[in-house]
Amino acid sequence: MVSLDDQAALAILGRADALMVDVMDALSCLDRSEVGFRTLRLGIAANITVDLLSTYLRRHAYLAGVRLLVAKGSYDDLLGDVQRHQASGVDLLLILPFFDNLQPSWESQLQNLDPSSCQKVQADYLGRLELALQASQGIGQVVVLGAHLLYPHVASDGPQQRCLDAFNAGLVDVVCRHPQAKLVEMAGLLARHGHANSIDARFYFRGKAPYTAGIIDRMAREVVFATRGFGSIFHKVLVLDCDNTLWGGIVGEDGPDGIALDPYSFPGNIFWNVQQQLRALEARGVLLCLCSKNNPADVDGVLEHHSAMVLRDAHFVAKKINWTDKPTNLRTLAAELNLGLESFVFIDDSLFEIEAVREQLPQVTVFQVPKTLHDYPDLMREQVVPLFIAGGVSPESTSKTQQYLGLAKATGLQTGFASQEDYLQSLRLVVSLQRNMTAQVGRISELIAKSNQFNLTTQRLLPGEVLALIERADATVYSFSVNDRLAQHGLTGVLIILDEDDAVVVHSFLMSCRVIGRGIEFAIWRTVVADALARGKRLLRASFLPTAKNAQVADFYDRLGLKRIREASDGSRFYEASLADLALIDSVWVELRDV
Amino acid sequence: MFDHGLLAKVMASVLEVDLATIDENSSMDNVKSWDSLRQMNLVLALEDSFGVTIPDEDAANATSYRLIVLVLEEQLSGA
Repeated sequence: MVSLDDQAALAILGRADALMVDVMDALSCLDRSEVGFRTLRLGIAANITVDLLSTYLRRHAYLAGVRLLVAKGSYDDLLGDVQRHQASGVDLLLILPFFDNLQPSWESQLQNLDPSSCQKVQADYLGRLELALQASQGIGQVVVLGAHLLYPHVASDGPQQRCLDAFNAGLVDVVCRHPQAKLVEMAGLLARHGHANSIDARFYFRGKAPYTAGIIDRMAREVVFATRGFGSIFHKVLVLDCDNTLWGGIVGEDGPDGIALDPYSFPGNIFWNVQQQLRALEARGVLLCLCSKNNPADVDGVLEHHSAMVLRDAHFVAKKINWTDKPTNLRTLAAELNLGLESFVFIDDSLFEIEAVREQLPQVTVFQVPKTLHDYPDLMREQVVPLFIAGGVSPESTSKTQQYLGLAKATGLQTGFASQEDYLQSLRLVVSLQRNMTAQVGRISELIAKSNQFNLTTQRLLPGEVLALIERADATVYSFSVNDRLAQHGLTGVLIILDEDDAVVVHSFLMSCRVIGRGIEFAIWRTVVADALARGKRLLRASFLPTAKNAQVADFYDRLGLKRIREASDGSRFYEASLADLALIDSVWVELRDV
Repeated sequence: MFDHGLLAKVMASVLEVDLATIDENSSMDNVKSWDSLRQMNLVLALEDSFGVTIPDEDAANATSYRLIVLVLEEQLSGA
């Protein structure tokens, strides 16, 4: 139970204008609370003093439901810090290289140094960062903050800007080699917050503490976004109203030529700008849906014929253009897409609709189009977009709409076949099973983070932990991609096996809900069993651990053909079977490719 | 009127001590947790709560309750 004190404390942390002292008091209050916050440990390695970063990281962590224990690290001891944090078992690591302090007053020094001396100093830090990231492979996630100038008002071809650009390119290079690491851009954040509001020269020169509380708060927020709320936020679907949300005016009254939408003039340019941002989101893998009280023909007409529309019919994975109330439509969309409503974000101009959704579906994140219309593009950029993409998206995530359209098409086709098996045969399903794919750790961890329904044990592993399992001789991380004649579904399943004496134990088995219902979940076991036998194993052990969302797989192992040996009072089920005698159900319509 | 209650509250929160232990004799010398790092946070929190900017010299030197009152009163009267 969240007490009133806890609620008040969380409300203070959620207020953008909360005073620092009130934030500190709210944190102390929540630290004493007995609410079951998820506890995570984060270590900081910085070459400056960022004492307050711990306060503000904890603020945004609590707002994401996480009690964050922060270990601050020493001053400018990157490798030592990382080793100590690693040894103390932190879940997350934050690395902050402050450019001007790579060497004392580095930006001023740069004017007097020859390029090769500059390069040497910067390469030294990047070399240490590479070593630090190699040493941090067991840590779930590492966030590296990008570098920025202390004095940004310099010539773009001057030594400071050039050296900074080279250093940031080096950071990108190093971070890209480590799947558990992520780079968070800082220069733009400072520009946005205002440089004068971000840097406190008093404490930089006295105590190497260059940042104001305001920018530290923003940095902390970015870090939390980059880790998707430390793994607790995963939005997938953006549902949009049409009138006064995608365009100005009401298409049913003003007609397709009367709505405001164009690149040049107000207010049409506001909506055009927002549509550009929406389209970019779609390209990054966000599923766009329409939910509008309108005549379908009116909306379709705009989607098809309006010359200034950036978004067209193909950008939307589903549309609910009808006169049904919005909460009902959102529930229907969730059922059709087979996704939980907590992964939905909804934007509408009408406070009535926003409140209706807020009341009936509190798990949906809602935004109202601002009354001051010029704030709308900013709302998108600052608040909506980060919900989806600040965590970084793997290349595979980008063509999701195509994959889901494939699913919709498949659902539509289903009726034309004599039996479900006929239909599945016709799909020409191919499952490609891979083992210990280091290059796929990003996508594997993403899937582990967000699969809820088809997830037997719901063990959330961070990228570094997956990497550590791949390295282990007694663990096998299987991942599989699914293709059929309608779509390439990409990497959509993970199965992790641990060897224990003469048994193999299923640590995790999960699949994306996009490919449920095709028998894929049964097809891969023949290879897994053959592998285990080849390693001289005798037994297969597996378990089902119930959560609020995985009821649909409660009897999965029973259906697969394993013998249930025990069921606990919380609904957990435990299975064991002799590998040699196993008679597993199989899906003959699935072609399994062992890659 | 200077808000002594607010000052004591900010000091207690930033220095992480019981509010009752803060009085006009409190200083860096007798509050154990009050080090130079906390001094920076304290100045930032005081500026935030009192709506003033504390000049560089004072920021470093206002290391007791009485000195902080002097500095804040000066800034508040000039505002």
